[in-house]
Amino acid sequence: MTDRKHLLNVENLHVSFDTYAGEVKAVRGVNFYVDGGETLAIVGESGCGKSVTIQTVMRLNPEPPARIKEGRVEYGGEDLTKKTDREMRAYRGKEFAMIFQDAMTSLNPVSRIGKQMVEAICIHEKVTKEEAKSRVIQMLGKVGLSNPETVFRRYPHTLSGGQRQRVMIAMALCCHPSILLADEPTTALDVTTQAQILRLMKDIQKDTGCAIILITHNLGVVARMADRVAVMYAGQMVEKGSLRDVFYHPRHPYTWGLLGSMPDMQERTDTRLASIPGSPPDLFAPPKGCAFAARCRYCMEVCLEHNPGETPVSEGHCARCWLLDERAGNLVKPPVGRDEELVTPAMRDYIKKGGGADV
Amino acid sequence: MSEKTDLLVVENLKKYFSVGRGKVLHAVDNVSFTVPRGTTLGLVGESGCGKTTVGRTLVRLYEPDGGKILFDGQDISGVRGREKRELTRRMQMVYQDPYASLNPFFTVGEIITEGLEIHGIGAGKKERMEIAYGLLEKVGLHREHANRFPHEFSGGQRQRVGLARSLAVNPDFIVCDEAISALDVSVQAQIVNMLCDFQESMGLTYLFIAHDLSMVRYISDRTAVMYLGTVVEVGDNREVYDHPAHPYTQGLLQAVPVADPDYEQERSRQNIMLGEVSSPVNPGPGCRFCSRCPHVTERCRQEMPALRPVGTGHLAACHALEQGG
Repeated sequence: MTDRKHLLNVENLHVSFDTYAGEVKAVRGVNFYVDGGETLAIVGESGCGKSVTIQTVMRLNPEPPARIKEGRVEYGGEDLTKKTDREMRAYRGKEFAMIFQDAMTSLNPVSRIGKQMVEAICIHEKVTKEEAKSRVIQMLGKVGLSNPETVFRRYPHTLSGGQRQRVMIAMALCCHPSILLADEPTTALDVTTQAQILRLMKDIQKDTGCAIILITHNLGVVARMADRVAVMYAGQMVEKGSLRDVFYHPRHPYTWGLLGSMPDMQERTDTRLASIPGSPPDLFAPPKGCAFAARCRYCMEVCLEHNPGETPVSEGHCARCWLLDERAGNLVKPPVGRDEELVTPAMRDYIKKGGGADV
Repeated sequence: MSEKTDLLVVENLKKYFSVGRGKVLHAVDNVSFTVPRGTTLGLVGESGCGKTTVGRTLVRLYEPDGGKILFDGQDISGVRGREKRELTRRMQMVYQDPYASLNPFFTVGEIITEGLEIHGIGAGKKERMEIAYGLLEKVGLHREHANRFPHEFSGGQRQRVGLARSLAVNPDFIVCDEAISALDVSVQAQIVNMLCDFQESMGLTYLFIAHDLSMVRYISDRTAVMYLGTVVEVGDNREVYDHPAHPYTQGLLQAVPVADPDYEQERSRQNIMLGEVSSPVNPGPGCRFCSRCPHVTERCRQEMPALRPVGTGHLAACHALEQGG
């Protein structure tokens, strides 16, 4: 990863929140990178640390209670974790722009759309109000809002959810950012509007060549948008790889569970959905071993004691799982719903020898 | 339990809300469908299309403004008093928001036994608590949870409590109003599997309201698609999902992202449905979908199409289909 300079490179990031109840280890050693023109999707359940990760990239978490314990966020040859809040302002909105999930609470309700957007441009660039205004109207048109001049004068509450999300995207694009961070941009929208917004983000990426980091829990959205995927669980990225690697050759049991719990849209199957039993661990005291061990049906003794490291599977594809250790035999993703067959004979021997705790 | 009997028959159901200044919001307009005993009808559509209003009118949380609701052969659209109480025992609802639908001042035990008390099930508090313990175990919680308050539970656990509450009174019919929408994928799968198990073991009939088409397809036997207060298509799942007849259903299915990269890549060049849902306040005389429909004609703007058969057990409301077939 050192031979090529990535647009954004995050290394070994640890973020904790100091609360009265103790330290919440929200992000525990995350590595990822993103290049211009590509889309990285970060998938995971709520509370797995995906939002904290990208908010840390933009340094949006108030510090304290948030604390970057370790790690680097490298952008343009500089480490953003060392920047002061004042220095970060030059990046936010200009280099990185964020699209939030809930456009209603992210737009200022007492300020007209146009005013909010002109303000954003004037902060970063030396332009007159008039120039900024014409740019804003052009942007509003570009994101598919009919009548951009009218929208310019309107208040956020007069727009529908889809329109507000378009305004958010227009606002994010105003200063031509090189990275667009989208935190569940379509979760609150209907499927048809979602399809429109996703299409819009793709078109914009094609036009401007910006990188997109997309956070979502919808695997369908991932399949539609992403070039590369990172699966997060309990503050760690348990599997990373290209879209096809992760969907067609997943190697981590959590990824299997996630993929299995989505019903197949094309074909009605009568098999049960492969749900993952239990719930994620408490991040006040993350388990000593693998965080997924308590819910994993292939859990072995070693999983409870030691946290697995990132094991490369193929070029650009890696996972954190002891099953990928050479001693564990060869394991492949089972067909959905038939997870009993997942354990290969070699694996079964290994579990027997190792006395694995089969949950 | 013969296959043919319909537990619920809804005919021309109407529910209007007055929104002031003579304006009327047509939330549900002439909706008709049937739900055979022991099956699941999925009800899908965009937000604001009236699916929740349908669910709430069925269990009589709203008073219908017209039409018939036949439950087990009896018209329940006007029942009152004792009859209505018995009805609420037989028809239960699981709500979308597991945070708002449980009383924060009640323990889980009290939440579950309240319905038992109202309907006089179980002699005495002790026996009712025993029933509650049994239900908690049935939905995958522990009996110790009965003494806890809702805020101590996660979203998935709360939804289990909500389900235990509705099962407590031994209903025939449950309306699941976006019951899994607020949950994470893996937890959704847990709840859906549980719903399927209960249907099998207790012969329950569900109306499953959701906007997630893939889950609806998985759980239901038949699906009704709603658009702006009207049912535009209804039929067996195989028909509706594999051969959608109505242009709205086609657009909706097109829009659902599928967790299959190859399939998505193939679809990425196709057109997507544009526009947004228009207002249900004082709608025009024509087809509700005419403002977004790619095949719109003058007739669509003037005349509302009726549901017509387009295949076995498959109805759709579109003028274009009538001319074609």
